[in-house]
Parts: sequence; C-alpha cells; structure tokens
Amino acid sequence: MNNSLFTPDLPNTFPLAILEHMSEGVSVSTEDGYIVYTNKAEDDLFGYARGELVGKHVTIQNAYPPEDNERIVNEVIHELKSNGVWMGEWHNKRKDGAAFMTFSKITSLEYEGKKFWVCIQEDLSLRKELDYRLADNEHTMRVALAAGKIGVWVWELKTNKIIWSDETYQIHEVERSIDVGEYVHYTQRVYEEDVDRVMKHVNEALEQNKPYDIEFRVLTAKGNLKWVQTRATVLRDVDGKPVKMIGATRDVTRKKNAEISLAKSEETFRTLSASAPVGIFLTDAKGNISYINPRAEEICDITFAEAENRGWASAIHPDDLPGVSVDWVSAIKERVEFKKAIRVRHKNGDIRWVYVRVAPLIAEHGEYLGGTGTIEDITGRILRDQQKDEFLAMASHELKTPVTSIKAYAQLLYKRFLKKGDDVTASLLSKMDDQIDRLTSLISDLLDVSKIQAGKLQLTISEFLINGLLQESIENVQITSDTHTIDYVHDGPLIVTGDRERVGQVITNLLTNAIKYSPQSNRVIVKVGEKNGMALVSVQDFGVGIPKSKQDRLFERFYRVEGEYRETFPGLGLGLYICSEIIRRLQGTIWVESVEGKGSTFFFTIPLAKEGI
Amino acid sequence: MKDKPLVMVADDDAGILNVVQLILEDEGFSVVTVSNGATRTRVEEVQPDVLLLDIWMSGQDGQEICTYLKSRKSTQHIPIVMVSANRDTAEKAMACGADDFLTKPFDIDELVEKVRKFIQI
Repeated sequence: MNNSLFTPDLPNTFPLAILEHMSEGVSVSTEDGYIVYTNKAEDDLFGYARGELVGKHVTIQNAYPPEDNERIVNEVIHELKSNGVWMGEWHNKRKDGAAFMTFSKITSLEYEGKKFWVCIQEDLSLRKELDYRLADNEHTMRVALAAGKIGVWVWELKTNKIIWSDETYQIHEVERSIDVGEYVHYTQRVYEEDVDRVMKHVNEALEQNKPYDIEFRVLTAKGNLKWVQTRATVLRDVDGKPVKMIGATRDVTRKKNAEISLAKSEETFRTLSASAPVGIFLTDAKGNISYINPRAEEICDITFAEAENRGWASAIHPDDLPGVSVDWVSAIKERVEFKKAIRVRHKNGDIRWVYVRVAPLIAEHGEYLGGTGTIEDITGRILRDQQKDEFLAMASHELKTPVTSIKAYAQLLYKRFLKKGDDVTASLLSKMDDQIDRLTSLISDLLDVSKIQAGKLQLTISEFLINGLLQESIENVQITSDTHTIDYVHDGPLIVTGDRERVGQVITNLLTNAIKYSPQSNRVIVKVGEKNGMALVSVQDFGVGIPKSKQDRLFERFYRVEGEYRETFPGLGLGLYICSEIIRRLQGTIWVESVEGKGSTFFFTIPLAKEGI
Repeated sequence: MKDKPLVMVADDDAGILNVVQLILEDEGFSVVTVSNGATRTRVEEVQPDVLLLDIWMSGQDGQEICTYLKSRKSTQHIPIVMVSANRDTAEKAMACGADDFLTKPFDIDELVEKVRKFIQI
C-alpha cells in the first residue's frame, strides 16, 4: 500500500538512482512513522531484504527500550520542529537483533501536502572500533611506558626541535611546562665526560644507520647525576634522508650503580686476595677448587690451572693424601669446618708444612655452596716445635742423670747414717729423698709432654687386673699422706687391656690431685666397676671443686686452675693433660664431675680384656 | 773362686759410676766401672757376674753392646741389667736380650735387689 503511495509520486527516476547508490543508508517514513522507502545501503545496514522494511514502523530499527523510545522520539520531533533537522548518534537494531551505532541526520519534508521524515544514516561501528583500538593502543602504550619508567622523545630534524613524553621530563627532572628546545640544548644535559661518546653514536645512527643503543650519564635539572640507557630509531624519507629520530630513554642509575659497586667489590676482593699474606682458595659444592690466590699458589707451588678441580691433590704429600681425602669428604658431607696440618711437596722436592682450614659456605635456605679456605705455611712453627720437643726430651734426660746420682747418694748416706745409729741425720736424708722424688716427677711430666707432642709416647699393652693396680697405687699414695684416708670400693676383679705402668701413672696422678685439692677434707673414695664393656674408675674428693666454666679446659696442656687457688696449689699444669692423652691413646675416656666448694669426681674408662683370653 | 761377686757398671756419667760403686761395695760386691768406648773388650776380659749397662751412652749404643755380648759365647752367660732414664725403652732392652731393666732415678734397694737376683750364692 505504501509502496504504491510513493512510486507514482516520484517524477524522475534519476534521483532515485542516486539514492539507491548512496553508501549511507536512506529511509523515508510517513509522519506517523511508517517506512515508505529504504535504499539498498539501508537494507544492507539493517540486514533486511530489499523492500522488506517498507510498511514497517521505524521503531523496528531502534535499539532503545520502549520506555526510552517515546522520550527520544519526542526529543527528535521537538528538535525538528524548531530547527528543521536532527543530527546525532543513534542506537539501532539489526534484523538479527545485533545493536549498532549510526550517525543519523533526520530532516522533515513536505511533499504535495504530505509530511515525510527523511533519515540518512552512516554506520559508526567501524569508526567506533577504530577509534577504540587507537585509544586502547595509546593507553596501553602510555601505561607500559609509565610502568617501565620509559621516556619517549622525538627529534624533528627539519626543525631541530625535540619533544619529550612525561616520563622523559621526569627522568631529567625538568618541569613539564619547560620547552626542551633543540638538539644542542639536549647535549648540555649530558654529563661532560660522556658528551663526545653520545654525539658520536648519534652521528653514526644518522649517517651510517647504525643502531643507537647507548648508556651514558646525564645531569638532571636538579643537579643529580643519573645513568640513562637510550635506544632510538631514525625515520627516513623516500630518498633515505633522515627525517626524525624517535627514542626511548630509561633511568638505569640503580642498575649501573649496582654494577659499579659489584665491580668495585670484586676489585677489592681481588686486591685483598692478591696481596694477602695468607693463601686463600674457594671450592664449589663438590669440593673442587674454583679459585686460588697467588699466595696459595706460592705456598703449595701449584698454579690455578694445576689446582683446578681435583688437581690440588698432586701438591699434597703422598703419605698425607689418604687422610686428607677421608677428612675432606666427611667435612663436606657433614658441612663442618675442615682443619688439618698437612705436608705439601714442591716441584723441587721440598716439603712444607701447611695448615689448611676450609669453612663451609651455606646459603640462607641451607644449600651447601662450597667452601672458603685458607692455607698458612707453618713449616717454621713445626720445625721450632720439633726443636722445642727435642730440647725438652734432651733436657729431661740430662736432668735425670744428676738427679739419679743425687738420689743414690742421699739413699746411700741414709743407709750409712742408719747403720751408725744416727737416726736424726738419716731422717733428714729421707726428707731430701722425698724432694728428689718430687723433682723426678716434674721432670717425668715434661718428658711425657714432649713425647706426646712429638707423637712418640710409646705404650706397652698387656692385660692386667685393674684391682691390683688400684690397690698398689692407693698404698703408694696413702704412705705419703697423713691427712687423708683413701677408701677403695669395687664390685669384683676386672681384667683390662692397656699399659699397666701408664694407667698406674693416671691413678696416682688423680689420687695425689684429690688429696692436694681437698686440704679441708680427710677422705678420698676410689671406685671401680664395669660399664658398657669398659672398666670405669672414679676418684672422688670433697675439696674445693672446679667451676663449671673451667671444667672443659681442665685437660688442656699448661692449664691451671685460676684465681685464689693458683698460689695455694703449685704445679706445671701438665698432670691431667698427660692423663687424658694416656687414656685417649688407650681407647678410654676421662672426664670430671664437680661442684665448686663440694668436691670433684674424676672418671676414666679403659677397655676390658676380651673374653676367653 | 772369687771372694766377692763382681759387678761391672758401664755408664758415661762419672757421678753415677761413683755412687753406684759405693752402694754396691757397701753391699759387699766388687765393682769395676767403665765409662769409655771399651765396654765390649772390658766385659770379655773381666767376665763380671753381672753387668749394669746404660742404654744411652755418648759414643756407644747400649743396645748394640748388649746384642753383641749376648751373641758371643764368651759373654752370653753374663746377666745384663739395662739402665735408662727412659721408661719407654724397656721393650728395646728386652729386645736386645737384656735380662732386666732399671729406670733412672732408682731406689738403691731396687738396684741392689736387681743385682743380687743374678748372683748365685
């Protein structure tokens, strides 16, 4: 009906042809909103077949909900009535229901007394998409640049003007409102020492098309020195002439300072390690050498190349190598410090004593990273110790000869005076003999220590009844004491394996100590029993006791109880050291339990003889 | 047959030789001392009833002398008591065939006892 209404009224077909070929959609509707014409673009735009829309009400094309539709239509009518035209973006709906935007122009048209609406619509969805993508890209870029603190700059070569992004301003600490000017102004911001290098790179990029990627220092507007990294591309015209340079600049001050301080600390380490008077080396987690300093090379007469990995083994004296290997493997496994005095062999055959210590390097999370080692040449010290030990041995021996004579003379005289009936003089000589025994015991201790130090303490191992030895020792010490009674407690006979004379020495030492350090008491208790396949001997006194803090050091060489007792109890501080060495060599243990002011109990164990022997 | 048992004392220290001689003479022994390198020949010549032999003598090795004397028919019957300031050499003394061992400094009763042990009365 509507179609017939329109077509006969069109005087010429040409304008219709124009309408049909327009890229914008065109629709004509009656005053009350019924469509009387749509061109091909309109039908395509809305997804209808040719002429399908004719006769339909325009609201079929709207995406507005019914409640909005009336309001919007009224607004459009109002605008048309006052201005004769309405223009704006319109939300539309395709036949398949998909919404899209158009830019619409609606005009009213009176033709032969009838009113029509003419609507021209341009599809906006494509443009919207492009706009959105552009805006999105730019936004993403801005966020990325800001997050990376990357400043962007453009240098227009034609005008010589430089333009900066916000971040570039921030990097250079320049107020946003300031015009950054031309290339020549930029070079003034570059740190003096770096200007030539920067200009050289710029020229090479412009003239030789070399990549521009450079780190240099700039002096910011606030006077701070910063390291920046800049990468740039040169844009060229069709003739290859540079038109502009576009670059990105990043503040790398922190990274650069870290690099510099790392390099400095490495340099410090190298200098320190190169000039250190002690040998230094590093090992990896497998125990292979990864670094040695010149002093270590010198001490061991080995180069780094020779020592690398397991090469160091070649420098170690063959007799010491098995022991070193065993201890080294166990130190790595247990993650403990490796400490050992070993011999190294120089290429010319010289043997040097070195003291090697390797401390484990363990990461925070417990991973074993390797070791830090030191090597010290202790040959001089070892030789001096040997000389000292030889001297001590010699001195003790030489001292014993006259003491032997004196003792023999004293006893000879004692006998002669006794024979003559001069008991008084005889008793004086007897006292002299006691003092000679004290002197002999001191000399023996010195000799024992020198032997222990030289590793020459020889033991004569046999099986013997410990009870018998204890009784003998108690009797010998009891004779010398008028003040103390030595009680002996035992669970029956025990046969032990050891050096009888040396064990006797230990018992005697513990007994004389017990009496010496309990002047206010009158009792010493000796006990022996079996424990875990060992004979356990204890010597208990009720004397001054030993403070807890001193108990560990009691068995050290030259250790003497300090403080008020030092003057009261003379001695060389060798007795317990010798005892502990003897017991240790006999596969036993020695220890003390003591309460200050109440007394001490010294314990030692010694292996029982094997059954059936 | 000798009147008194004869003890020979070999030591490089004159003080010790002197006092040991006095002690043993007091106990009724005859004593011959030797302090130079002639121990071996003197023992062969003198044929003592007991030899007190110091293990460490300058110019002479007590162990070597002991081994030598114990290997000779003319002297191997002579009891030898090794004397040393070093306890640890007891084993060495036994190893070279000595009959007993005495540690310096010693009690004279011990000395006399060790000598008397080897004298057949």
